[in-house]
Amino acid sequence: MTAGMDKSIEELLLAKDRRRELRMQRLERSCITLSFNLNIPGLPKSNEHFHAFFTTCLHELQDYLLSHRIVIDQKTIHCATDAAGDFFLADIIDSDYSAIQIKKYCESFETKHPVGRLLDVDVVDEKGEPVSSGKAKTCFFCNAAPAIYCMRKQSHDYAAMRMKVELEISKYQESKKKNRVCKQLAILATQSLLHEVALAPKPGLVDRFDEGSHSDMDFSTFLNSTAALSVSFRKIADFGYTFNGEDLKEALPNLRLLGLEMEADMFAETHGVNTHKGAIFLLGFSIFVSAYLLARDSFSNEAFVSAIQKMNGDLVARELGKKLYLGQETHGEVCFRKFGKKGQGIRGEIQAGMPCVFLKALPVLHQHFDSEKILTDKLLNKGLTHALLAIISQNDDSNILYRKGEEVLEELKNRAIVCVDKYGKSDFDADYASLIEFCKDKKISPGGSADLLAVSYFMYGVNRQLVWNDE
Amino acid sequence: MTPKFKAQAGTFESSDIMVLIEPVAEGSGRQVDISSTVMLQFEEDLKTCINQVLDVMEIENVHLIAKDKGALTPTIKARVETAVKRSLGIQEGTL
Repeated sequence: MTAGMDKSIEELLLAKDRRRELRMQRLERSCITLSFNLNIPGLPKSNEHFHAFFTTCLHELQDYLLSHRIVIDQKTIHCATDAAGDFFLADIIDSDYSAIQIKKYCESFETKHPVGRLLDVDVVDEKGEPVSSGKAKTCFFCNAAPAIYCMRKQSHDYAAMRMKVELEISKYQESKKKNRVCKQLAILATQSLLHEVALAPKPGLVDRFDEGSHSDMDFSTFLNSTAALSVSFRKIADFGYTFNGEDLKEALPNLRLLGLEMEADMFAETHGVNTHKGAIFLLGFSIFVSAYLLARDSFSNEAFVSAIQKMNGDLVARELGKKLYLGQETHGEVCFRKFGKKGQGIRGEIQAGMPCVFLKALPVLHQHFDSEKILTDKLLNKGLTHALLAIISQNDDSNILYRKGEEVLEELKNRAIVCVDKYGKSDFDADYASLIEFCKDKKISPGGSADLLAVSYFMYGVNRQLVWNDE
Repeated sequence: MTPKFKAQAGTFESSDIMVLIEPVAEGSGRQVDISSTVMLQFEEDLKTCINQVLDVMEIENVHLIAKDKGALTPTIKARVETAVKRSLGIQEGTL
């Protein structure tokens, strides 16, 4: 070896020799092989960032190949990181395509990929000859001259090139994170409505076996409504993730617009029955704020509460204190006029930082679910029943207040307090059954508490799936 | 010195170069053939770089074939030197 040759170049060349050896070993099997690596200018050829990016793109490449029915022989996969960087090599199982056709597909993968210029997918034919398209790629850095020209001429500064590469990779990884987070938020929101309605038995509420105190809706009405809303949850998440206004309040008009669209979708699917108006309001805010905070890596329950309070400001005074619509008073307005602070309903709950969710329900859900890997129906039924009772015991549900008055609401809350105290004890079942009977008898439906239960499930899920898992 | 054996160094990996050496009869001179898959306009640069190594090593009679995959100068020099040494029987193994 050359005297005085740079140690790192020596290692780089040795690594390339080993790659060649790996390729040569495959020659006797005489099949087409495919390799994948990144084009990283300068040294080192791999680091934590590059490796994560390589892994992401490798998954994408494998899906792409599979979608074109170009099948990788899993047994022949070599995937390792050395001085020449991250490297993947595998045989292709007898395909209908020639090596040239496979190379064309791989080129199209590179071209269509947002940072495809950093990706290098090479195909070697059955005889061990690299397949070349003969096309010269343009330089990633200046995007003007052919890459090979800039390389030979050493046109660009390595540090500057690497900075640009790092930046492009970060941007791409960020877009992947956005997609993952927003998708997860939409999944959690839909799950929260499904698990809430499926929970059974419930006092006065629609569940999977019973219509509770309702005559105009049943289990299927809720499933249809949930399906209608699920389409929009992702939109709210995307909006929150990308929102960059100075004041969160600037998001309100657009959020309301999305909310109105969701209400219309809901009514279309339920034939005019209000299944989820409260849930749209609560989940809408929760998804938006969660996405906004997760995008900035600053989600915490405290940050969430503070953001949601800031967004709503003096919601009670603004919305309940004055008429938004001409004509009849809404139920919420009547309640506020008649019962004052106690009749503030969901707006009051938000303004107070959602204590039913964060102080009552979440501790219960943590207690039931934290040590469990998979939340089975049985576990969910236990945890959510316990949490629902904790919410009912605290919540001044304006629904009940409006329809049944203060006395009934207080009795319901007191019965729920008793059930929460007895939870897990032998006489719980009898007390819970009697609470359910009481609601049926009085035709009470604690719909506001059901909405808060859904939000509690959602917030628990955000913490579990997007905060702890990402740490 | 005059190469005695057929030898090669390098790979077809991108940013590398494959150098093949064939012994020729004493007095036949140097013949350097380049096939750069990517860009022919660098042929002269490549030749100059290869000839520099051959000059230093005092190789006058040789047929050298280089298949370039976009290698940079240090890589070209290292690969040519290794191939020559192998063809002289003074280096075993890699590089």
